[in-house]
Amino acid sequence: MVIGLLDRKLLRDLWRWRAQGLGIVLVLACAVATVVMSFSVQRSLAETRADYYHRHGFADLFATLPPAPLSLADEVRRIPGVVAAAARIVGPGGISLDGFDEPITARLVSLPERDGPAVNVLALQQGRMPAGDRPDEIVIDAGFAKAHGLGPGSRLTMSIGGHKHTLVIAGTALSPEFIFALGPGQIVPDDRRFAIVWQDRRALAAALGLGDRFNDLALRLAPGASAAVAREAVDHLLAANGVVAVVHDRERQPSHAFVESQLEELGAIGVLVPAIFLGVAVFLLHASMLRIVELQRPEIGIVKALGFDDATVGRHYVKLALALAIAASVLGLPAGVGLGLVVTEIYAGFFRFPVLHYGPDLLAVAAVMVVLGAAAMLAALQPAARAAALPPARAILPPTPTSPRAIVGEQMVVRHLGVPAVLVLRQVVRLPLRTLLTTLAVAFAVGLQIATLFSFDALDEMVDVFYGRAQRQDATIAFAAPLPFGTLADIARWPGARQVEGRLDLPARLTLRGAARDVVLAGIPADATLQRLLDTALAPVTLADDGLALSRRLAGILGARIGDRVTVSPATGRPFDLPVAAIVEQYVGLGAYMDLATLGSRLDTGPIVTGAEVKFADEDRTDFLRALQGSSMVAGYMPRTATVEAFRETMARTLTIIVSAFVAFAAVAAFAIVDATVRVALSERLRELAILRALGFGESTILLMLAGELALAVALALPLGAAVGLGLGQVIVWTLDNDLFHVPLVVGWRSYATAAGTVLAAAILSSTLAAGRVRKIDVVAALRAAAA
Amino acid sequence: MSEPERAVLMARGLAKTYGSAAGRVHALRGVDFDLARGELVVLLGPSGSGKSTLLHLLGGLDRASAGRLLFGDLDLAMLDERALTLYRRRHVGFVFQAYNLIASLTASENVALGAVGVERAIAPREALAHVGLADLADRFPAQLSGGEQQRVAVARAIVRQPDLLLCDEPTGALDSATGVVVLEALDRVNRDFATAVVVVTHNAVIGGLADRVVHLADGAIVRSWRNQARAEARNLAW
Ligand SMILES: Nc1ncnc2c1ncn2[C@@H]1O[C@H](COP(=O)(O)OP(=O)(O)OP(=O)(O)O)[C@@H](O)[C@H]1O
Ligand SMILES: [Mg+2]
Repeated sequence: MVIGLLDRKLLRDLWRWRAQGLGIVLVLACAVATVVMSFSVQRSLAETRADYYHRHGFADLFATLPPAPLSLADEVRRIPGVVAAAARIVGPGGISLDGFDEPITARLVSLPERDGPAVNVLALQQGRMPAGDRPDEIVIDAGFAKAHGLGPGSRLTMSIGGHKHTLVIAGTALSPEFIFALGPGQIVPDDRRFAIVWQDRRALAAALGLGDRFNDLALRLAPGASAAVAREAVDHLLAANGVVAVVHDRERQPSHAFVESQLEELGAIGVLVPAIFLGVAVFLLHASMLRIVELQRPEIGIVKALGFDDATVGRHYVKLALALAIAASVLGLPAGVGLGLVVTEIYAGFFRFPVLHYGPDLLAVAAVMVVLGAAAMLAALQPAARAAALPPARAILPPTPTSPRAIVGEQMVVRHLGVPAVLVLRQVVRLPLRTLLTTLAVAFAVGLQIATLFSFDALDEMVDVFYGRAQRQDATIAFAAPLPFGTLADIARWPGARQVEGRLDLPARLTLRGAARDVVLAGIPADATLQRLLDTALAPVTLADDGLALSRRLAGILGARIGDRVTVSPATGRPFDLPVAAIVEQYVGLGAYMDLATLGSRLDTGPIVTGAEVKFADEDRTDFLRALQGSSMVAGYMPRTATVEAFRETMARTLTIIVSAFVAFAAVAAFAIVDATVRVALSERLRELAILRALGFGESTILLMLAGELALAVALALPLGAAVGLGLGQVIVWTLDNDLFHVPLVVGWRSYATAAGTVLAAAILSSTLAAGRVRKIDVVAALRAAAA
Repeated sequence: MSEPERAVLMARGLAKTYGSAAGRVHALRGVDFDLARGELVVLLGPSGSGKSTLLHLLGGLDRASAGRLLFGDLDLAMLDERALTLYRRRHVGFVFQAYNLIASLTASENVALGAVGVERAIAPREALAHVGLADLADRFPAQLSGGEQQRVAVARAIVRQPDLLLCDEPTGALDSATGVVVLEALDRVNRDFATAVVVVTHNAVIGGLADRVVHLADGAIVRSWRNQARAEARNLAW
């Protein structure tokens, strides 16, 4: 039973090494768990959304058009590929609620006809659908209902088409169309200030004075039908009927786009971070295997001297690595699956899916097993080859220090600190591989944490820069329709108003050398102080009178540099050219800016505004809001503090959740890495320590030596780890960059301190545990074993 | 030969029991043993008779299960771990069968390790010269032969001028000629510094070197005799 005996050695080794092994297994298990968790979350959310879209007939194409007769909808239905078309009425409205003094913007949507096509079907959460004979009954979105504690039976005062209506809530609902309800000018959802209200079509038509006409189309296409082709056809048909419509697919649908960008971010970070974990774990496994082989040189020598061939010895160590990988899977898989469920549930609550499909990503499970197995073999290959190649005669000798030359300054150390100190020094300098492995392992422990923790700093920086330094208004007002410039002067006369700056948000296509992008071009005063532009060094820039300012990301998309002439084609109106005058830093959204007056002069409409930035006196806030409520021109109102809050809230419930899970894993991994390192170092030195004990060195001297080595490694690892963390962070930042959010690479001192603190705490804890082991060193047993 | 003086070490009824689930092993069953200043004792006995165990107890590496062990007025059983460590450092030198040098320290540094914290220690080079290795002071263990390594171990044990030098099969891993060189070193130390030396061995021939030969069997002293005259180490052969 030749193999049997070696396998028994393997099992005994595993048992003897369980403490050290546990650290490695734990790091590997963290990697496995992050992969499985992350992929399971992504898969579950994607499937849940797909199922939701499917069951509730989420539209594939959307069109906004001037009021048109219902017969036009019938023609649209005949377009090949169109399965269903809902002709709807969509309009703006306002809600006033007792106890909430700010204006609430509502989007009114006509309820699907009872026997109509199944498009954007509501998922009723509470109550019932409005009764056919009750035009005053409505359904409101569950998010808004929850934010204000409303439910079936509650009454709402709404202004629709300039008239006040008292409406009764029949039910609350979710809709695939409004997974996120984004109001006018909102980048992130704010449930308190924006509501979706569904009302019977006829009642809504009456309130808006539309009669038998509709102004919105939601189309579902046959499976496999091309959205682009269908869109073309719809565009064509409407144009042929003299209707100027904006037709867009799901990509431009605000809720879908938002969910998509969130899932994309999850996907990006959810692949990258686990990959980093896996890389670090494999490195640690590799380093540990190297050290195990070093440590077992005498055994390797004996086994070989007994006539086992090199391949058998090599295989032995590959098996050891595989055993560790299997142990890690046993721990990591259930942890990943379980955490995946918890995280998915949190997300499902935020994404407002009516039902949740959670399933572990079995493909990811299989993949991670294969990758881990392969990685374990890879990690073991070199150490195993080393073991296999070790000549038996050399194996039984202790490893020869690489250079027998004296180290500079060594004699001074001997003189001042004594031989034990030189032992530490030489251990570090003469066995550089061992030192390097220890330092790198600890550096990764630091780096992993920084790479996950920095997201919180980045978030703070985004808020600080975007909502602190750039946006300085108290509130942003969106008008129901473009208004003449002079309106601003009226607003400036409202009680408490201190400063009013107009803005003109103009949907436009920017083109430069074949690159094109549809954006909302914002006209703001060149000398704007309420919404400032910041250059890439975050210093305020003044808009050129006749030039464009593009956000860094948008400039990148267009390939634009300062001086390039960009063609601006407004959605309605004549195109014009402008040079790029500035590139600005903007962490949220894509931005294009130009001077408000210049923009006005370029348009047929003349100088108009679609909104305003305002600053008002705090003590006059109530009066200002009352004036605002009384004004029929306002469609949206966003206080800056509310936006910041909504932004933080959104982030807290998206990226932050999975990042928190990663941070926790990183902390566990850091502890495991440090502990494994300390334990392995102790094992390596056990024989020496026993000799020192026999020679009469006290425990404290020996502990000091161990601590000295660890302290040296940690001291080297901290700066190195910071660099590693920044490097990994940069990769994450690149991966996270999308049109909506540009996460800056900012690492605050708190993250550095946390990362260093965790590692130091781990070092202290592990050393304390090691001290226990040193105290328990059985000198006699160690010497007996050494003599054997 | 030299009449034994005052006993440095005195053991009475010394016993050591190893307990395990499989049962108890009585490694030592009540040993009385005195060691005088400047005396060289050779401990003989079959394998498993308890020689190493006795040596470990004498050197304060391990604690007796029963019995008394006095070093002067010091009762080793009364000492805590710290005091026992101090006892080892101040009074005991060890040489083991496996050379037990520290691989990353040179010969002289290994010897210096034995001098740390001991006031009356001599210079490491002097100790090395004593065992005839002055020229190899800067070599690492891996660059030394087995015999040379063992002599470094002896130098490390004597550099602190211990009261007792305890050697567990110091020649066990060496050939006869090399073994003799190591024994010469031990003999010289014993004579020059009047250090009490205990040498554990399987090799009855080495008994000729001793003032006194003690025979252990099954955890007890079964025979003990004094040599009329100590043989010269260089005249030994096996
Ligand atoms: N840790 C231990 N647990 C159990 N039994 C032990 C332990 N250490 C030693 N023994 C037993 O104690 C007895 C004495 O062992 P010791 O090492 O003192 O013998 P020895 O005379 O030195 O033998 P050798 O000449 O082979 O070195 C042996 O029977 C041995 O099996
Ligand atoms: Mg023995």
